[in-house]
Amino acid sequence: MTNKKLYALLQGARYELDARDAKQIEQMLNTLPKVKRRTMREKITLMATAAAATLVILVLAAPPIVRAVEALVTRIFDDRIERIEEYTSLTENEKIQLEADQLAAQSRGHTLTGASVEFEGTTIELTDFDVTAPYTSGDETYSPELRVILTYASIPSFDPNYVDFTLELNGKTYQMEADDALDYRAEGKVITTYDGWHENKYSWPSNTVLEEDVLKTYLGFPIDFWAMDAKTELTLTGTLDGKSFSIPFQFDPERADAENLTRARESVEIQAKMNAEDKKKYEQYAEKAIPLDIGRSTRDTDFLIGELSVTGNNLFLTASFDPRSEAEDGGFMGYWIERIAIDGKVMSCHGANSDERDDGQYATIFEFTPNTDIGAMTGESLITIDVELGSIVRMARVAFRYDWDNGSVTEPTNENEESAWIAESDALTKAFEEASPIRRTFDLSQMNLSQTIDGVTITLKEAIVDRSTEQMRIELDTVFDRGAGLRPYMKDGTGTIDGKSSGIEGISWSADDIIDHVSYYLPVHYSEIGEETEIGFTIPIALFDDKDKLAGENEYSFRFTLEDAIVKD
Amino acid sequence: MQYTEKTEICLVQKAATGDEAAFAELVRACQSTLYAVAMAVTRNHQDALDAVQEGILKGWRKLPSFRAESQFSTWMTRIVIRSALDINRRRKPSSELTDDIPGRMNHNDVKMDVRRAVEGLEEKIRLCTVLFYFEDMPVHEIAKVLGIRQGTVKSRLFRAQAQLKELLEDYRDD
Repeated sequence: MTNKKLYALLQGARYELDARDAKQIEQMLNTLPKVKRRTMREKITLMATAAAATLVILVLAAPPIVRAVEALVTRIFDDRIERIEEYTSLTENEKIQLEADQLAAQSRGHTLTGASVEFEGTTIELTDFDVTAPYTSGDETYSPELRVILTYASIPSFDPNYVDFTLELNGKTYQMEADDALDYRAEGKVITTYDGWHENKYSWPSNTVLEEDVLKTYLGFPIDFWAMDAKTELTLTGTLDGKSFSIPFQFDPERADAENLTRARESVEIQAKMNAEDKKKYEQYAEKAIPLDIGRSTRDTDFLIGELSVTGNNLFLTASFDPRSEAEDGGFMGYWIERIAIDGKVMSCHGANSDERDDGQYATIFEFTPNTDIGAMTGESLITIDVELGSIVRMARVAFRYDWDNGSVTEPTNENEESAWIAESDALTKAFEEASPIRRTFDLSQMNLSQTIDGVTITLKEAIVDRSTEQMRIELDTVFDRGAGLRPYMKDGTGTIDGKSSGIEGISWSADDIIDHVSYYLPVHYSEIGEETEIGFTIPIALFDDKDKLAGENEYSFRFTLEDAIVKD
Repeated sequence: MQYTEKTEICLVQKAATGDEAAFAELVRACQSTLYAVAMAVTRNHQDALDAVQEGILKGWRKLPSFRAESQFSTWMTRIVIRSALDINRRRKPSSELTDDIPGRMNHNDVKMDVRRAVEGLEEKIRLCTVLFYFEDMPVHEIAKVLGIRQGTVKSRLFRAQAQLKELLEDYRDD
């Protein structure tokens, strides 16, 4: 088999996240726990005092602050604007120096001009090099590495993979990173054309790659500690078939610092643009903000819901949290507002932007998609907000009434009244969902819509109609009575109505981490449901033996007749 | 030497100060790679998904310690690989492999066979293979992700090529 053929086969077998998995990850990204972060002001302090370690220890050792709810920040939009202005008030040099110090702590190096050599008909140029700082991550310690980038003026007549590279630094010679056996060379080949490199870009493992039409070689040399505080001469030597070339070059700390400052300037420029955009955005939110100032104290957290603002297609809710204790594992405490219900209409959170203030509070802006015209609201509304707290999530539910005409907030007088208001809101939500013209769920589980074919049983559970898309999907459970030593694996199947395919494949997933119990959605077209409609499901199941070998594959076809009364109002 | 994009630097800066939206944007850009490496280690869809999610949470916690000596995606990939290895270690012996479906199969048998062949490779070789062939990651980036030498990456890939050609002999060129 050729490498090209193997490459094609492998490319076709890539792992892909399906929509359901991606959604799961997305939901997780939207519910990230709050993490204590060092603020910009702290970073500036650290820079100025150069006492980072001491300060971090002091911060970590500081006892939790107990604060009354009244002390929590109420105007988070304004607070954000102030913080941006605070950063903006730093001089340009302070911002750049802050950024430059952070960059320099990570790696140091610079570009080069004129560090080149003619070899075998092409010009090889050393364009860029740097040294990474040693660091420890988890259990692993990484030593400094000197990284080099070579470019070629034209496609060389030799394969750079065959070149032995060494580096001379402070009188010591370092070998390039390479497997000791270098056994890849035995199977290597010489690529002499642009098309050859292009075609073999990924099919051939190489430290040389075509990037934007320029052939580049990336080299890494594990090195000992190097102070990098003075001009230093280095030499890169390449040897191929007894012929050698050398590229002497120099580390210039002034040039490294200058380039570092340039990068810091660029970064600060981008930060300035982002800050300007953020400030404009927060000013818009602040302008339309409705003050709520609903505060509560729970066992270990005080929180305050500050404002509600509808801007564009989003509803924003601001909330500040003050943890009075840390999570048991010393990690983080979670804070999240999952949903808000206005007169029973529920909106789910789809994003949040959190900030730790200097006083230890977390100030967060939560985003919801409004499903009601808040701008046209009049009279009094009952509003409930679900707040999740703690490393082990506990729910704090808040209820209050808001008068849209005069902007007044009425809070319950005691916990009993709040419980009653929450129950009232939940009842409104239930009634709203039942009357919803958009989505309706029909329970099929009591109708014994179940069939078994050759040990495979499927049971229809629910029909869910989404009238916004005119589609109905049917959820069903599948149970496979496994034969001895055989394991089933369900593949995506198809659904039909009166023998006609819906055109959309069903999506299966493991419901209980048991492979033979799988829920299965099959979308069909709601408008096509007549008085008696035959709905079919074809489910392919692959079987594996105890040695993990494919033992067979069968398709199971089920047919059900649904009366329209079952799935229509 | 600038290995990171300017926008990435800014997003990392924002994320490091607690901006979930910035962190989410960084993760979205590399989530398919994260899933692929998790699959390479666990060879089980649900475990891979768990590893990705666990890795994302770890990354979120550890972001302040992120050092831009590599791209964010490289750093996150490394974290997810560790999470996946942890999940493998936590996995009950009785559920190892024999109870797993190697790879997530599709209608296409070729695809299934190729995945099964990849999943039959030794773990170290498999990781290199997935990053190189599935994720189009250059050798020097793989070396950074796995913390190994470029030459080692190459030799593992050559071993993978040899073994895969043998395993997929039925699909050789006519």
